Amino acid sequence: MKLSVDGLLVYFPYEYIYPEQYAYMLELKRSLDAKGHCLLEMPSGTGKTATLLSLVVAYMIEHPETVRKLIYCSRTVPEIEKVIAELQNLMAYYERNAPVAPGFTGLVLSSRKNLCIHPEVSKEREGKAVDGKCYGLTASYIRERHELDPEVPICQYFEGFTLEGKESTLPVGVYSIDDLKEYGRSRNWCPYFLARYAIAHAHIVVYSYHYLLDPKIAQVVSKEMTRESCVVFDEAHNIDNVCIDSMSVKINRRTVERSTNALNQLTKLVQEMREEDTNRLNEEYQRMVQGLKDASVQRDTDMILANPVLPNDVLTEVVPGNIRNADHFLSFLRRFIEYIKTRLRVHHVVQESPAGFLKDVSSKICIERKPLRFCAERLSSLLRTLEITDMTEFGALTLITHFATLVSTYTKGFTIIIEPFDDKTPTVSNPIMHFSCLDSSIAMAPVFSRFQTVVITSGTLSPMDMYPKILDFDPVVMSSFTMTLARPCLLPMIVSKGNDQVAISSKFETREDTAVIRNYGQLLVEVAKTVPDGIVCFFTSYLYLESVVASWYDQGIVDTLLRYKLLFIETQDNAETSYALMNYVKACDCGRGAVLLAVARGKVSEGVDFDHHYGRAVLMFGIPYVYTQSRILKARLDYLRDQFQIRENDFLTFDAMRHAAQCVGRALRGKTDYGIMIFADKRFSRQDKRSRLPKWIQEHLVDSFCNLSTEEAVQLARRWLRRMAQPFSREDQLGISLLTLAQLETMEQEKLERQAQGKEGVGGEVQEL
Amino acid sequence: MTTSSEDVLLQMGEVRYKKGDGTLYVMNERLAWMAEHRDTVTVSHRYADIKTQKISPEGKPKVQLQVVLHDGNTSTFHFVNRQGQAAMLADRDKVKELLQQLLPNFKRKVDKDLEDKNRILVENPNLLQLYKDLVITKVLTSDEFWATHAKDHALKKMAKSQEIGVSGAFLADIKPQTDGCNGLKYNLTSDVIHCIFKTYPAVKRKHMENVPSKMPESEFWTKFFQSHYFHRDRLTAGTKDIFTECGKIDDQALKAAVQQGAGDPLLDLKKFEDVPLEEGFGSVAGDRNVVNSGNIVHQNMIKRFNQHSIMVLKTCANVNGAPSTVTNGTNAANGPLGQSAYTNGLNGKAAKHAVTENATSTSSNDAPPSKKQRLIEKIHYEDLGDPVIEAEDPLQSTNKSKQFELSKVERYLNGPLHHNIYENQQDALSLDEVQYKLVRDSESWLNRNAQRHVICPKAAVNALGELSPGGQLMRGFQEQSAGQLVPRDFQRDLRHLYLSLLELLKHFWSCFPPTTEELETKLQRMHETLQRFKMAKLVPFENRAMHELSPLRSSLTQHMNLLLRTANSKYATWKERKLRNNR
Repeated sequence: MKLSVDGLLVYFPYEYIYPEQYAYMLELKRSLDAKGHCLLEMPSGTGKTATLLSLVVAYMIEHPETVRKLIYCSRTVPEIEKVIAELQNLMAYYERNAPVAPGFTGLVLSSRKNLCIHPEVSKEREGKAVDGKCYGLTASYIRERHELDPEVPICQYFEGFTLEGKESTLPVGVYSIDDLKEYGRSRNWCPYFLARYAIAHAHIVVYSYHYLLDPKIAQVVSKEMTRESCVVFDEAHNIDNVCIDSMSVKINRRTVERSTNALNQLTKLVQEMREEDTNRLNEEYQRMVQGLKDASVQRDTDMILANPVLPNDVLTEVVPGNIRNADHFLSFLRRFIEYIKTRLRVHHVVQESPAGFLKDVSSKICIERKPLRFCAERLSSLLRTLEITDMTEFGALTLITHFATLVSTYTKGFTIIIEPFDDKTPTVSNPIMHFSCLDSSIAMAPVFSRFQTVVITSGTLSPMDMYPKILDFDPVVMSSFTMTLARPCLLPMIVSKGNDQVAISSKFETREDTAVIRNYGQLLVEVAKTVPDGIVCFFTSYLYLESVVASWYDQGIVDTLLRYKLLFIETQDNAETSYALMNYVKACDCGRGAVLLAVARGKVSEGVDFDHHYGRAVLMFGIPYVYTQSRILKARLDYLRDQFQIRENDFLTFDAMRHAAQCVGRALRGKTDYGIMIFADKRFSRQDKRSRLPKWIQEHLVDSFCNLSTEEAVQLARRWLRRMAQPFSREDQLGISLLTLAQLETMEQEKLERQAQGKEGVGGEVQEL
Repeated sequence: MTTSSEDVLLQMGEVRYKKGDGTLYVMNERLAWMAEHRDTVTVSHRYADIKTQKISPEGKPKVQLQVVLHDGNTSTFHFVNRQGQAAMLADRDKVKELLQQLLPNFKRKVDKDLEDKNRILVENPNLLQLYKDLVITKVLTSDEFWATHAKDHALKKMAKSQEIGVSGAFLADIKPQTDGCNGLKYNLTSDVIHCIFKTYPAVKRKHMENVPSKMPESEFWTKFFQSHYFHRDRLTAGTKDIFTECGKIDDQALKAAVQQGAGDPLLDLKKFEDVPLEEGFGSVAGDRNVVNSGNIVHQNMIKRFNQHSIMVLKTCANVNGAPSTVTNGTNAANGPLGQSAYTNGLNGKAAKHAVTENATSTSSNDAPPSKKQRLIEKIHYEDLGDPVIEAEDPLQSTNKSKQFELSKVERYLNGPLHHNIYENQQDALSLDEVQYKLVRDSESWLNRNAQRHVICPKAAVNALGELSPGGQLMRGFQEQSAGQLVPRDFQRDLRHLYLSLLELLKHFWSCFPPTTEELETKLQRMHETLQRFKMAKLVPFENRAMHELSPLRSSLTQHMNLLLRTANSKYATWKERKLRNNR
C-alpha cells in the first residue's frame, strides 16, 4: 500500500498495516526530521524491520540530501539475511508500483568466511583460517612476488576484481550474501572486496554491529561513511555489552606463550632479512622517522586489524625513537611480555586502574606510556615489512600489542583485573588478565557524534530510560509501542508457588532446595501435558541447568516428561546444540512435540526464534541475574554508580529483566502466533521486576495472573489454549490490530480532527482569558 | 524324507514310540520320529497343529513326553536312554525346552489370523452384521464370506498395518521393582525390547552377536540394565561392559551428524557470529563458552538425553512421509475444530519447507534456494497480506514452482480432511461415474450467472411454507411417515436385511457379463445364495411383518422383492440363453 506518513509518501510492501507500524513510522520520521537519535521499542513480530526500511527508504527518496545512506546493523548472520530479504521485498514492490524505481543499491557485508568463493579457501570452517589464507593470497607483496614468479599462488577472484571491479560500480539492486557470491562468480570478482568497496557508495548497507562499533574493524571497513547517514541498531537490547566487549581484552597464559613464540619467530625473520636485504628495514625506519602515515590507499588487503583505539584518540605523532628500529621494538615487546608473565604469576586477585598499571610498568621495566601507545601500529607495520603471509600465528602477539595501546590510551572507564584461578576451580591455576571496559558510552560516542541519526530499536528495551544513561546520549524521540491485538495471543503468568504451596524461586538460598527443583519439574511436566507442540524453558545459568537436570533425573521427572514430549537440552558446544535444535524443530514439525531446555544469555536465547508451533509456551525458571560475584561486573557496577548515578540493584534488575523479556519474547513472532509465557519465580511478582517488563507484556499481565500456583496456571493455560485454537482470520483482526489503507486514513482523519478540536479548545480558552 | 530346507535343530536317539525304538527329530517347523533302521518318517507333526505338550510327572519311572494336537489326537514319546533315569530326564527336558521355545511362534500364527478377523469384525459393525446375517444363518460359508465379501477390509487392514511408534519414555516404562530380597526386577516386554532395538541399533547388533551364542537372552538384558548405557548418570565403567562399544558407536554417529552441521541456516549457531577477530578480544564469545563447570557426569547425562531424543526421533523419521509430517504439528495445536485460514498458511509453510528440503537434498549446490525460501518464510506475515516477492530470473521461478508441487493439494488448501470420507469418495466412484458427474457439473458452470436471478427470498419462504406439511400443497399429507409406523426393531432388521441383500446383489451383478468359466460358477453360486437368502431371511421377515404390521403388509419388502425378482429374471434369461447356445 501507498500511505502518507506525516506528508511523506511511503511505499509499504503489504496490503495491510498494523497500527503500531504506522505509529512507529511517525516517530521515526520525526527523529529523521530532527536529525537526532532515537530509541524505539516495538514488540517482536510486529514487522519492525519492514516498517523501518520502508520509511527510511521513502525518506531517502524524498530528501536525498538529508539522508544519504542507511546503515543497518544487526546482531547475527540470520538476522542480517532477514533484513536483506525484507529489503529485496520492498524494492520489488517499488519496481512494481512506483512510477520511478528508486535506483538504490543495498548490500550486505559479512566476514570473509561467509563471502569467500575461492575453491580452496572457502572450504575452511574457521573464520580465522579463511582470513589467514585469504591474506596469504591477496597481500600486496604476495602479488608483487607473483609478478616476478608466476608460481606464487594468488587468488584469481581478487585479481579479477582489482583489474576491472574497482572502477566499475555494482549495478543497482539489493544483494544478499548469496547474491554477492553469485555475482562474484559470474564476474570472476571477489565478493568480499567487492562488498568492501561497494559499501562506500551503496545507499543501504547491512552488516554486523562490530563493523561499526569495534574501532579495530570500523577503522578498516566503515571509515568512509558519510555523516548524512541513518544508522540503525536492531536487536539493540544488548548494545551496551557489545560496546564494552569491543574495547576489552583478555590475556591468559596461552596467549603469553603463543606471543612469545611469535616474537621468537619475528626475531628470526628480522635477522634473516637483515642478512639478505637491509633495504626494506631501512625504508621502514626512514618512513617512521619522517612520520609518514602508511600509504594504505592501495593496500587495503594488507590490513587485518586497525588500531584498537577510537579514531579521535589515535596519535598523529611520529613513532617514538626507541621502537623505530625493528630489533629495538622486538626487545621492547619481549620486555613487556615478560612483565605480563610476571603479573600473571599472582596468587590472589589483583585489581588496578590503567594508571596504576602504567606506573608499575614504568617502574619495573622502564617502559614509558608513549611508546606503548604505538605498539599496535608499530607491530602491524613490522608485519607488513616482513611480508608475513600466515597471520594466524601472530594473533596472540597482536592481541598483546592492542592491549598495550589500549591500556596506555585510556585511563578512565577501564580496569585491569588479574584472576589467578577460576572461582569454581580454586585449585587449578589458570591466571587471566582482564582488561575490561566499564563504560559502554566510550565505544558508542564516536558513532553518535559521527552520524546524524542513530536509531536504537528492539523488541525489549524496557526500561527505556536506562539506555540514554549508559550510552550517554540524548534521544530526540523515545517511545515504546504496544501490540494491538484482536485476541489475547500472549498469556503471561507469574507462577510463584508449586502445588504444595512452596514458594519457587531461583534465589541463591533456595536454588538447590529439592522442593524448589521438584516444583519446577512438576510445573514443566504439567505444562508439557497441556500445551501442544514445542515448549522452551530458560534457566538462569548453564550450571543451574545442569544441576537441575541431574536432580530431575534422580527424581524421575525426566522420565515423566519423556512420556509427553521429547527432551532436548542446550549444551556448551555450539555444534551439538545446533544439532539438538534441528531435531527439536523436526520433532515439532512432525507433531511429536518437544521440550527444549536452554539458558538465558545463551546463544539460543539470543538468536533463535520459536515462532508458532516451535514455541507454544516459554518458561523462565528464575530471574536471569548475571553472575554477581564476577569481579568485572562489580567493577562495572561501581563505575556506573560513580559516573552515572545508577544504583547497583537497578542495573542488575534492568539487566536481568531485559534478558528475561528477551527469552520470553522468543515465542511470539507475530499477531497470528500465540504463546504462553510463564515466569516461574516468586520475585517476578514484585513491582520492581514486573514494571520493568516491556509494555506489551505488562499489558497482558493482570494482577490475578501474578501469584499463581502450578495448578492454577495450568488451568488458565488450558482454557486459553482452547480459545486460541479457534479459527482466527484476517477479518477478525481488521480494524483492530490490522488496518487497510482506507481504515488507516479514516483513523488518521479522526485523529487530526481531534487534534484540531483540541487546538480550537485551547484557542477558546485563550480568548476567554 | 524330510526336505533339506528343514533344519534339524535337535536329534534325540533312543526314543520309543508305540513300542518301537527310534529317533526323535526336532526340526524348524515340525516334530518327527523315525523308527530305527528305516528311512521314512513315521510320525510327523507340524508345530502349527500342536496344541500343547505334556510331560510325565517327576517321580514316575517312565519318562514320557506327549504332544496334544488341535484335533484332539495325541502322540506319546517314551525316552529310554540306557544311561539311566537322569539321562532320560535330561533328554526329555532338552526336547521340552526346545519345543517350549518353538511352539509359541507357530501358535501365534494361527491365532493371529483369527484375531485379525475378529478385529476386523469388531471395527466394522456393518460387516459384523453382515457376518451375522449371512454366515450364521448359513446363507454363506465362513470362507466364502471372507474370500468375497470382506476381502477389501482384510486387504485394507493388511496395507494399513502401521508401524508402532516409539514412546519417548520407553526406558522409563521398565520400572525396576524390588523382588523382596534386595534384588531388582525389571519389566521387560516385547514392546519395550522392540523399542530398544529400534532406537538403539547398536544394542540390536550386540544382541544378535551375543544371543544366544555367547549368553542367554536373560543375561543379555541383565547386563544391559547394569550398563552405563541404561543408567544415564553413570560414566563408562571400563572395557568390561559389552555396551561400552555401543556407547562409542552412538557417540561417533552423533559426532558425525553434528559435524555435518544443521541443515537450517537459521538454526546453525556456529554461523551466527560475524566477528573477524582473534580470540581474546572481548567481542569473541568463543572463550566464554569453554568455561567448564567441572561436572562431567551432568554434562554426559545431558548429552545422553539429547542423544536419546534424537534417536527416538530418528525411528519415526523413516516412517513419516513429507505430507503427513506437515499437518500433524498444528493439528494438535488447533484441536479437532476447523482450521483457520492462518494456520493453514502455516501448514503450507511447513509443507513448502519440507518439500524444499527434499528438492535441495538432490541438488548439488550449497542450497541457497532453500535458505532463501526459509528467509522469505521467516519475514512473511500472514495477516499483512502477500508480500510482493517475485522471482527475478526464470531459474528461480522454476525452482519456485517446483517447491509448490504438493502431493496433496486438497490438504494444503483445506487442511486435513476426515480420512474416511476421503477414501470412500475415492472408492465409491468409478471412472465413468466421475466423468459423468464432471460433465454434469460443468454443464451447470455455464449457467452460473443464471443463479443471480433466483427468486426473491420472500417468495422462496412462501413456497417452502406451502410445501411443508400443513401448507397448501401438502393438505392431504398425514403426519405419519413410515418412520413412525414401523417399530424400531423392525426398522433395524429391515436395515440389516437391505445391507445383506445389497451386498449379495452387488456380487451377483458383478458377475455380468459372465464371460469366463469362473464367473459362471460364481454366478451360479450367487444365485443359489440369493435363493437361500430369500428363504432364510426375507420370507420369515415378511411373515413377521404380516402378523404384526397389518397396515403395511408387504409394502415394506416390496422393493427388496423387486430387486430379487429382477435378479432372478436376469439369471433365468441368462440360463435360458446358455442352454439354447449349448444346444
